[in-house]
Amino acid sequence: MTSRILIYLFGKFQKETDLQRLLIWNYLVKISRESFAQCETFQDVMKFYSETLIRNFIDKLAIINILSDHQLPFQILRTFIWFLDQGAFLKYAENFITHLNKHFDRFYLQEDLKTTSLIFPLYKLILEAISSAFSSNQENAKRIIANSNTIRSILMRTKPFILEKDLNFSYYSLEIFKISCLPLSCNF
Amino acid sequence: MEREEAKSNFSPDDPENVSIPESLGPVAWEIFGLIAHRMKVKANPSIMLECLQCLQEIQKYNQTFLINERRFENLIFPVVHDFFSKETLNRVELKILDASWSIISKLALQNIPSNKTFIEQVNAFSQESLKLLQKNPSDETIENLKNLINSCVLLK
Repeated sequence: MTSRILIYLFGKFQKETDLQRLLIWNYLVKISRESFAQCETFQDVMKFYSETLIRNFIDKLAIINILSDHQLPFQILRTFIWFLDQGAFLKYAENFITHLNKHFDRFYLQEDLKTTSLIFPLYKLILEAISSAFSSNQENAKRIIANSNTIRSILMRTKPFILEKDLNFSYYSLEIFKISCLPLSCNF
Repeated sequence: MEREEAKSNFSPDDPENVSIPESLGPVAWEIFGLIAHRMKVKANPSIMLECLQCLQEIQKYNQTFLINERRFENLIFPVVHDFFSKETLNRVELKILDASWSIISKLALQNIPSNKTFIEQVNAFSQESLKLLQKNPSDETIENLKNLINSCVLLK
């Protein structure tokens, strides 16, 4: 139940104005205080709950196909990645990215650029999480690079957009590449 | 000069790209052409700056990448040089100039074997850049950039 409330609030957070975001933030703090005795802050809740939420999101990613509003789930995901605990996220990053890539391919082939454009900020956030984990020398991040083609799979999808006339696509593609230089440089 | 990725099992003909290792050299090799091409669009200076920042990031972690195959010399420097054939600088253009000289200064420190024409072009560009900077009101950023340009003595 708590994870459902959190997911609902993440969805609202992305869509609302600054004042309403503040109210939502207050709700998040209230939930954390009332639901979990061991958690003093919302960050503590995220540390405690991130793994469950990520697993839920990976499952729920599959149902984006049947939703009429394609954009909302990606907006929720964006807020979610902002808040989540990086350690827990890295554990499931490969699986998460694989699912996200499938949706990227599908929307790209359907020429639904509006929805495709929502995945770019997500890729950027994911790579920022991996890159910052690299800076703090986390073993999970190194494993992702050593055993999989995860970062490359993102870059190969975003690279054609470097030449896109829409500057937003071009900007995100270059940013994504820039952020991935550090983790890529650690893999020989 | 051999490309660094020649040591691995890299194959640009691989349709699935499965054998391309996930490391900076090969991935940068795949993306560099697009960055160089994008930089030619002079109408978007902010994207040009992004491109240069990407190159700075590559240079930070793989110092020989821009030297190999004379990538900077043949594909990037002419575009940058051409871009600054103007009278004044705005904020973004100043950042572009700063990023360009930051890359050149690191190349200069590596004492790269460059041809005479390139050295002459860099010297001419340094004079043009200093002249351009003198037209802008002096502040800390501009003074630092002037020092950076003057410090590239290894190429002279």
